[in-house]
Amino acid sequence: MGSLKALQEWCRIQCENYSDVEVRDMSSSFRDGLAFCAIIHRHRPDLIDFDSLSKENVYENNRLAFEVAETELGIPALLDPEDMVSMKVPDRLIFLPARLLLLLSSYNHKLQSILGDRPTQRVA
Amino acid sequence: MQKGNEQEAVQKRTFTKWINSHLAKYKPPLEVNDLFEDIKDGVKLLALLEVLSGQRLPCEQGRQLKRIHWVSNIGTALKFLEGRKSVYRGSPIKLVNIHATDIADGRPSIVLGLIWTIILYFQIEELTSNLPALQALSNSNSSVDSTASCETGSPPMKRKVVNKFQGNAKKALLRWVQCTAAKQFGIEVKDFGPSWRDGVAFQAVVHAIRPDLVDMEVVRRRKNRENLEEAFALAENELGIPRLLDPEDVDVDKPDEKSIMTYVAQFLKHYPNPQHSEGDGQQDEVRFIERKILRELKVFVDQLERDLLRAQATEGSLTDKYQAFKNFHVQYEMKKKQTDQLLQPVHKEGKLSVDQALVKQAWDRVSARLLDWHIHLDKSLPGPLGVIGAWLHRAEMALREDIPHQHVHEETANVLHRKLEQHKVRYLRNPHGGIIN
Repeated sequence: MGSLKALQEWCRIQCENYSDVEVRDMSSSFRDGLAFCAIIHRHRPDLIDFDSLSKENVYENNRLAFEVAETELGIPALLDPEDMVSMKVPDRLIFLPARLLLLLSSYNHKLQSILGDRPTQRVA
Repeated sequence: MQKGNEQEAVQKRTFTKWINSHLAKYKPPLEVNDLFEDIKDGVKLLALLEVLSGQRLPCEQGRQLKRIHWVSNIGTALKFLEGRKSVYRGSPIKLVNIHATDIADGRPSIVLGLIWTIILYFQIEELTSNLPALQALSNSNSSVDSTASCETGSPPMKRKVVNKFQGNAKKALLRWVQCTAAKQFGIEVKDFGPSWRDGVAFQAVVHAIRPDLVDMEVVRRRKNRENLEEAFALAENELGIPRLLDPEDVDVDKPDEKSIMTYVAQFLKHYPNPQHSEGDGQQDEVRFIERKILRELKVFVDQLERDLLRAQATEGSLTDKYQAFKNFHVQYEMKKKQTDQLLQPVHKEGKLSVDQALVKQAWDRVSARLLDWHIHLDKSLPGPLGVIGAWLHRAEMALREDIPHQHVHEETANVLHRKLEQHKVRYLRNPHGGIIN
């Protein structure tokens, strides 16, 4: 494993068990905004009502994710929902999941040690 | 006590700045760098007199100037001066001991004597002669105090034949300071020397013009250098009076009187009637409060910086440190909105006031420190997380600096690719399809 796959794999695992969400790459999979919302919801279910979201509301899903990330988690958006709506998906969308990963690792000892340079440990 | 050549150095500095503030108005603008050198050919001297008098004076110019031309120019200048009448005496100015050849040689004491004569005549006499309540000084033959509008109880002035006109102008300027500024706060300004050393008199003059700028209570508790520096800065930035003095030159046992008189005369020149703007009372009140708020904000920011430094140095787990960082960040964000509002430029061309600039400096330091801390923490995460952290900060900064998309993506792909390849990240999976948490 290597390259962007590291980050991608983490995102994929976060989004497992969320219907309508499948992370196959670090670009178009994120377009409808549900992946962002799922990752946030996975760790802070109080911030997003995931069940009320639907795939079609591309603009709204993204807008919600960016706003929540900015105001509740202190992660600057650097993205515009408009960008996601247009066919061209910006490369820098990976900043957000990367920041989320770092944020979550920052207060999670276990996550740090799991994702860090330690020998593999199987979670029982 | 100041040694002879130290005093000379101070006067040279002050007079040079005074001269340049006027030469800047010449067409084309001129500048004196070394007074004793630049005065030798008489060209800038004549230009100065033209600016001050508004009259054209004949001048030998060009590249091939010889000493004979220098002396001619200086002679023109001296003759011009001697032709002017002293406002106080009504009779011509006397240039005692000043010869054109000495100026052409750049002899320091003579040059300074000439410049002082010009300052005294063109600035101080002109300005003080217009002060209504003090007209009596110039006409009086006997002791002069009783007719002045503010009585300070000083002893009757002795008539000195040689320096009478100088004595009158100086006395008038002193009276102006006493009446407009000193008496309000019970400050004794007896001379243009040691009375000014602690900077309180300067602050009082500034206060007389703009009460919102100076808190006299605070001023009394401060050190000399601080008061001097603040008064000069306020005068420059808020009152438009160019700096002529350095605090180091004034904070001595015997500050140079001529330098201080030259500078104080600038205040009189720009604001002859300091206490006449009663209509601005309410505006002053508002500005005073704004300054108080800015000062309180500065205290807060300074404390935040101190706390930040201490927190960064404290030992603890990465998680604890992140928690501490988060607390600071929250405080910072809460104060940021207020700070941004208070740091809106109030002057033309987006210039900040002195207080604003101080707050901005401190605030920018705290911002930089917080960012550095964040970067450090993110880089300190174990293994590939640290790598992602380092890359992420770089990429975000690149984005902020408007580096084109393509480039950022390439950095993304290449750097991340390279760096993460080095780490073997194993992702754990619960065999039953659960999620890492």
